[in-house]
Amino acid sequence: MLRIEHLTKMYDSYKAVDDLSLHIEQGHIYGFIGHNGAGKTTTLKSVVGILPYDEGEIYIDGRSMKKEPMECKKMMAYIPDNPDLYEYLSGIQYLNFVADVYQVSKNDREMRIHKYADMLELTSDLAQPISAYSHGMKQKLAIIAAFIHQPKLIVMDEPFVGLDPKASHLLKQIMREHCHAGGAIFFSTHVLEVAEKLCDRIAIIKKGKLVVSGRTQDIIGNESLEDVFLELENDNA
Amino acid sequence: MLKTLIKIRLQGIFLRQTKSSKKKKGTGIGKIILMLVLFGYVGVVFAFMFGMFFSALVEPLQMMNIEWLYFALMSLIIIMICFFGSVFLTQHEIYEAKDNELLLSMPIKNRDILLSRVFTILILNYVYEILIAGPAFFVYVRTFGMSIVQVIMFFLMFITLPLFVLALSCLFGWILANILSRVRMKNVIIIVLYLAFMFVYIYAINSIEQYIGWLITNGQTIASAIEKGAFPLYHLSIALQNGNIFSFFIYLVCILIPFAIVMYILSIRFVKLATTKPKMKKIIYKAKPMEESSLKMALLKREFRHFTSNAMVMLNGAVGIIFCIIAAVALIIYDDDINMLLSMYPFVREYVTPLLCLAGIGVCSMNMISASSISLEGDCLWILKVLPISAKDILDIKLGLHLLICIPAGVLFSVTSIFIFKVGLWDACLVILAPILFTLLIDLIGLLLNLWKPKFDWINETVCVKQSMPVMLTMFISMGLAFVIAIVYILVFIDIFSVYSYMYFLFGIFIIVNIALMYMLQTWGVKRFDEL
Repeated sequence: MLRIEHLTKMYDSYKAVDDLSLHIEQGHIYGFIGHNGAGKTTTLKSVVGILPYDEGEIYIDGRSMKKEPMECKKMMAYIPDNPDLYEYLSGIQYLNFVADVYQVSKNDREMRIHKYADMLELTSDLAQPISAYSHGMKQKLAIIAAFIHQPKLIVMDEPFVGLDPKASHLLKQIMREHCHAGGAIFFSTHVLEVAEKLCDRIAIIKKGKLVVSGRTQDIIGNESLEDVFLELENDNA
Repeated sequence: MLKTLIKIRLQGIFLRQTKSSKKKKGTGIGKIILMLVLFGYVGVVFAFMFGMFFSALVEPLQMMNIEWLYFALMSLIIIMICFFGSVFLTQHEIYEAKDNELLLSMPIKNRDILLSRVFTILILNYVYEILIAGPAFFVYVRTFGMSIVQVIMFFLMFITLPLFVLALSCLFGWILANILSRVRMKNVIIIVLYLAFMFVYIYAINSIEQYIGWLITNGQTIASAIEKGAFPLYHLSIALQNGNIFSFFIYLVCILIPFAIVMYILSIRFVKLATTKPKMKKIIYKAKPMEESSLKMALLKREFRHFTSNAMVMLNGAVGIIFCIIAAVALIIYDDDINMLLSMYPFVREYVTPLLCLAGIGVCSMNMISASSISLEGDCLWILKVLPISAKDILDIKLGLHLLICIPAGVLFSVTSIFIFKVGLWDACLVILAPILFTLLIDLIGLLLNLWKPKFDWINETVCVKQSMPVMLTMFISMGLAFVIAIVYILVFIDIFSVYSYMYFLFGIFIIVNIALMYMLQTWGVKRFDEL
């Protein structure tokens, strides 16, 4: 579903991501872990087309992000760590805008908006301007918008930040459903317990370089993900 | 701490003018020079205008033995201009500043936060003040000279008068903030107030010659009215004219006491003012059948909703629309006078079509929606980057919104003028075409300039639409162009071309430049947007 090959991203002379390669298959929830400034967000933003990259290639379902960005974007959705949404629109206007861009039919959008908004308890607030939303409400709206066109791949940057415990639980459920239906999720997180329980695969990044990647069970063995992460941090210090 | 806060605010003001985006650090020397040239140009125009005004007044007032009225008028103009110029900034800086909560959570005295904000507004007031006080001082010194005491008093007046204006604008800003926090039609109220202020200002500037005559003929009456009604200004004027220290002391007391009272009240109520959230009634969502739109229509709706969401964005981007409507209404009102003038001076008929084309360009020259349309994406630019929308579609819609909003008003003016001046069919087409071509030209220039120098790290949209470089440059080019078209003909082409030939030549130039800029937008512009 997502293949990152030798990705390198520079900020002037600083290498934010250094020769990173990953392969995320259909049906998998892939956790991306690393310390602050390790290059997680830069990688995610390169994948979704926000940041141009210097070297390497990104393929979404076999299509090159460099050569066919529009086709790739149609198959993806992105939830950023800080959901800056159009404050001049109401929640429902924003969702309709996203649905129009992806050309989601009237019936499908109605059904999906109501399904996810009811689930995340945002329905009654959909007519409110986004400027009146709290951080958590914006995050929920970004989640609904991401699922509105049933993308094959969803990229999430710290998706649990700002969500209340119930919404976090529901999001995990939605993520699992999405992967069972044949989709894939690539997300970054600092909450190692969540990653340990939720992810089928895990990748750990440090100073822009991939330190380890693979099946969650293979990586943690009999230890906790926290222990493994701290060991790797110390080993490579 | 106060020093640090002031330093940060000053850095903010400076960077607001010179820094282009968060991606690029530092400030370009070229950009600083450009900003200085722009501000210099505006400064020279205003200084010249007020210089003429004071030159015309200074001697007649002395002859009438009411020389002090010169300084009273200067002070009144300073108060008016500073108040109208800073009242909305006051409301924003003190009552709606975004970093209030952050600063209040830090170990900083409320008084220091407030004073640092006051300082920002004061700087703006001093800029306005120097445009009036500078020429007034120069004209007076050149005519009568000034003693050292008078010069010192003038300097002290320069420092203290804006404090009084600040007290006034704080009070008005507080009333405004209170009203706006209670109403839904916030945009309508801001637009009405802003336009009212603007019309008073324009009316005052345009009536300057009438005022001079009126002031000279009614000097004694006005002098006695000021003496009785504006007691502090009278004493200030006496002090400046005679170097009277006692009068100056009375002025200082009258100016500083209101300032101190307002500052005291604000400092004790600052936390409440800064943290009170406007009470908004919750709108409950009621499920309705949803509508599908095409990609371009969805983008256009979004752009339109963005544009109409903020009164300051509308006013700064499309004030030309209002001028078009006012000009059209004025033509209808003065229809008889116009026809009478045309019958008195039949040779003017020959110039009607070129003049109407120029007028159409002039009234449309104050529209610059596209010049901030890229910057206004701000922190939400990621949405357009992530969604499967081509840069070409995004730019086409931004260009289209400007045209859709501005062209109807320009055409309304043209059609009205066609009927009033009864021009022929071919000429009517030209009169309609002129504002359309010019609007497209300014639309393209604004959008390209904004692509060249976007600014995404603005504190609020008002700063972005009022003070960013692409907006200022577009305004400079747009307004300057209407002027240049007329001047170039008078100075260069008057003996070479007939006025009609010159008009056709300009139509040709406009068409060629528009095609070239459109090509540039579709090539360089698209590439540039992808790089942002």
